Amino acid sequence: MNSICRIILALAARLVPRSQRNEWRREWTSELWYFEDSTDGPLAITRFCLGSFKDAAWLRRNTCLEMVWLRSATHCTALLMFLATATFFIALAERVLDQPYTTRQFMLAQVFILCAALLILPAVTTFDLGEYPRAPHWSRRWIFLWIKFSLVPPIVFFGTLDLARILTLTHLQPHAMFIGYVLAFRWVLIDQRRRCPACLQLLTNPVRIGEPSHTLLDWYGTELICSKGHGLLHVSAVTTSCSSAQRWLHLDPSWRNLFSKNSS
Amino acid sequence: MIIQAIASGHVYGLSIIQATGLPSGTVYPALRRLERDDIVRSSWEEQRTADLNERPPRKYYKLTRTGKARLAAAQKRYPLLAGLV
Repeated sequence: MNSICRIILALAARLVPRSQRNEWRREWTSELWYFEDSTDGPLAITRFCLGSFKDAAWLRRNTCLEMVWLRSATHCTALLMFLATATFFIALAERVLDQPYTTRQFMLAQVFILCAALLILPAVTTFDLGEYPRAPHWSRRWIFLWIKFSLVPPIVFFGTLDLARILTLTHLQPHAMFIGYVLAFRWVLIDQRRRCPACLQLLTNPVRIGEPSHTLLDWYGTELICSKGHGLLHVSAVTTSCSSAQRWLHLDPSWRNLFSKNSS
Repeated sequence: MIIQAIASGHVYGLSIIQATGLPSGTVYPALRRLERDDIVRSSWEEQRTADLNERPPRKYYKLTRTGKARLAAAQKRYPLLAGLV
């Protein structure tokens, strides 16, 4: 194995969750050995190695809390409610809600930070939630969105107050709160765009379709699928006049046999 | 396409890459996903067998019963799929 490949694999391995790192490294080292044996081009070998980043990133993304606790709308709401309650009780236990944190001035400052974060939000993500046909349970999407929007501010507010008190960094609390609001609201919108409008499950199996040269006569981007077979989500890489940010394609029941009955 | 490649006897990552022409950054995450969804199952080759041939052991992928059912359904819907790999 040449030194570039060794460095690439070592860097990519840092992304892999610790519990899976050894096996991941073992597989990639083995596959690379065979690849080097079957090809001469150092460029091809490097390109092969660079794929390890995508693999490692996939493992990182799919092994974390998100896939277990954020996949279904019920689990996601339960997790957010738990976080809101936990941060609130920690705040009570740590007495962070005592003076001076209950003064009118302090509360106005908090509202100002919240408003500033909302003003910044369009710069970090779009408000467009995509084009969806009017489904029988379309209101559930909006209810779920508003539940998230209402649970996120208390989590950020109490969470940053708790952390600032625990880490004794009270002077950084407003900055942390501002960044926290922006990231949390961004997550709420991104999460909403990645859910099936019928069952509100997170969409899976992202596949890249087409090439940038298809932009004129066709589209290119990413396609995600609902694991229960409700439909496909087309996410254009570039927004053009004929293709919005994302578009939902409903799949009729004839497609259901491609999806397992017990898929979650 | 990857399930079809495994069913055709391309049972490890590099072989699937060579059979399908897909890049490594697509094939390995897809294999992880298929394994997570219980469509394929992986197993390591015995160290002794690899040592005898003076090479590292390979990780082999095999279709599960669910995987075979998925492949059959996909082949029914896309009859040309078998010819792609």
